[in-house]
Amino acid sequence: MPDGYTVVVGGLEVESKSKATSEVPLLGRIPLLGALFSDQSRSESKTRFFVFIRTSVMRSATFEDLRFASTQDLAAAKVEDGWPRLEPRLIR
Amino acid sequence: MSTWVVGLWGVAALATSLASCKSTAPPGPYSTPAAVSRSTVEAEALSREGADLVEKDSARAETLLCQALTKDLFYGPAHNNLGVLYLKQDKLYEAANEFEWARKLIPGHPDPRVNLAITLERAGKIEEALASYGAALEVFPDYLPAIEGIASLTARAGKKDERLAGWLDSIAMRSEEPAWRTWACSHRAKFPP
Repeated sequence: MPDGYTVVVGGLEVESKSKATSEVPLLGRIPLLGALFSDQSRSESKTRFFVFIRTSVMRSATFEDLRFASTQDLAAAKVEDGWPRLEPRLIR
Repeated sequence: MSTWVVGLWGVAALATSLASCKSTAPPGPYSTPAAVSRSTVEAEALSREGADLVEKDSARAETLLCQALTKDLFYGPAHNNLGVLYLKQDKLYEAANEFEWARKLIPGHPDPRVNLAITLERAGKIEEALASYGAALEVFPDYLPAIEGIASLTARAGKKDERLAGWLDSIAMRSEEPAWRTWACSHRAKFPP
């Protein structure tokens, strides 16, 4: 797998269906007329869980690059690491 | 008679192949400037306009900077500014490519080298980034952004460099940004005076 690429290695799908009935005692059980004294609801939900893996090859023998492994993710999450950030410079 | 006809066909085929070579050869950064049309004044105006829009409207800025390079492929600042735009979009490969162009086209300007170093640093390429900051300092020895970059990366990577104390002094005294001055002072305290 090439360095920096992301793959989806698996997924878990959970599907749930539920049916609920609420009714006025006795009246709700009268054939046909009982529908006026009862309420039925149905719900369905589907949840998918995927696992994403992104490779990041540590090339330095002393693992110096490990310090930078999450730099981009921290920046994307707008988490400050306490170090001033050097911004790229435009030429006008 | 048949020999003459074959010879004529051969000359025609050679002429055709040479013509096609000329039309398909892509102009590179080292092509003769006369080989392609250049309009540097228009490229400069478009590049400046694009640079002003990098923060506000990145799509429009990209269009203008690409138009600037269409006007003059060898206008270095447009390559640099397009690289800055790509870097802000986290397109590190494209950004590095543009900064390389800019570095070759305006070798006396330190900014493309500093920007290339920032790109390499974000990609985790520490040694290459340090070398690029160093190259910017060779071009312009007291260039503060290059000093900030190389000092920060050297400290972050835990490298031992005898010049680090001097760089931190320089940042503490010259930087206009309080965050850089504070950082430099706090790290300077770790070194003997």
